Amino acid sequence: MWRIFREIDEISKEIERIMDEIYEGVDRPMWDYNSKCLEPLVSIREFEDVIIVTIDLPCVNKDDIKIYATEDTLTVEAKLKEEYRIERLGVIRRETSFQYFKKVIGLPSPVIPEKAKARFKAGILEVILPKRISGREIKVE
Amino acid sequence: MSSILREMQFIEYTDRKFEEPIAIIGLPDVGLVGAIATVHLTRELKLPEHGYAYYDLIPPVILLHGGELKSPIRIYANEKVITLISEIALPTQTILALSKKIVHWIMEKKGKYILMLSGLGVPNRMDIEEPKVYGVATNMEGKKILQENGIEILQEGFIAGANALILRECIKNKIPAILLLSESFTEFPDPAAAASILKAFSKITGIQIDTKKLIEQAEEIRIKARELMRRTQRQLKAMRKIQESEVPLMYR
Repeated sequence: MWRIFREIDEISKEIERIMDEIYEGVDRPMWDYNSKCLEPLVSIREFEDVIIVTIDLPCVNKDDIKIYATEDTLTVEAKLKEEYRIERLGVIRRETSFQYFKKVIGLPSPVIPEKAKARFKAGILEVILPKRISGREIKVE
Repeated sequence: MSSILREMQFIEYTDRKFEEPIAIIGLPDVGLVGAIATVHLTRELKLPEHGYAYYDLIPPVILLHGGELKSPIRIYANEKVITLISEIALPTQTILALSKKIVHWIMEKKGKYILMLSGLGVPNRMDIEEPKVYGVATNMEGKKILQENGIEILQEGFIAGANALILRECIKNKIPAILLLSESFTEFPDPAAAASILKAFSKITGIQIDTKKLIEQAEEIRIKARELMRRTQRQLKAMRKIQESEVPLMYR
């Protein structure tokens, strides 16, 4: 009898986990009040040999951008030119300010981080990451 | 479901007498171009709030502006210009009802034509200094207006989402309509593309809109509009907006 309840509990936890996965990043606020960070908008395009990640970074100078890449993630941190102040978060008056953009981006395929290239123009950061291609070429006979 | 669902209503605050108005629609879409441009235009022309849309399937959101409660879909107007804005991303069902309502309402008001402002996502937007504006018109007169003002007419392809529904309704009811599309980022708010489209708007309507403030506030707009852009992006995917980059079967 208890086993059934335990199993039901496990199933409901699994459903919750899947739902969290589905909705992750969708309805979450795009700011973190405690760390004073804003989440930037990101676009990922995957091609045969490269992944191109474009990030919207308004109010940022090129020299204040830090990018870190691993085989499967890209982390971007950028200091805002000046503090971004807002008078209210939600409906309650609560003056606060933000100083950084920060985002850890999961990549859809493994990449070669050492060969990544980046450029920044008019507040848009573009990072081109060559894909790590594994496997062998098969000759057509 | 349709039997219990009421039609969309436009609640008007005044019985303003319109004089062949043009209606400008800029709903949240690619790069939020239309939404940013229409809000700027409404402010620049100092259009008073005329009314709002009421419908059961508008997402359960009501806004507070200066302590006043506001519907997220609102109409601003003077005697000659009407603008329709939405401060939220709209689900397909709402867009369907809104497109039917706006066209019939403009017919009632004896509108001159409907002008839709929107973005056209291009992958090389980062390398474009001044986004180009293209046009689509439902009749020959509209095409002539576009040609006379040096706006290239789109010849082939798909148009998806809210603009497609409004154009479809305009064709069915023989209402002249023009769709202006500015090259833009697809997934990022693009105030520069909005400025380009407003220049094209000024050319074809003769109504001058100063875009200086829009350019000055561009970076701030991009920060403020991130959440609306993210929600809009989800709706665009649901509305098969991706299809705009495909080639139709019937080619010349």
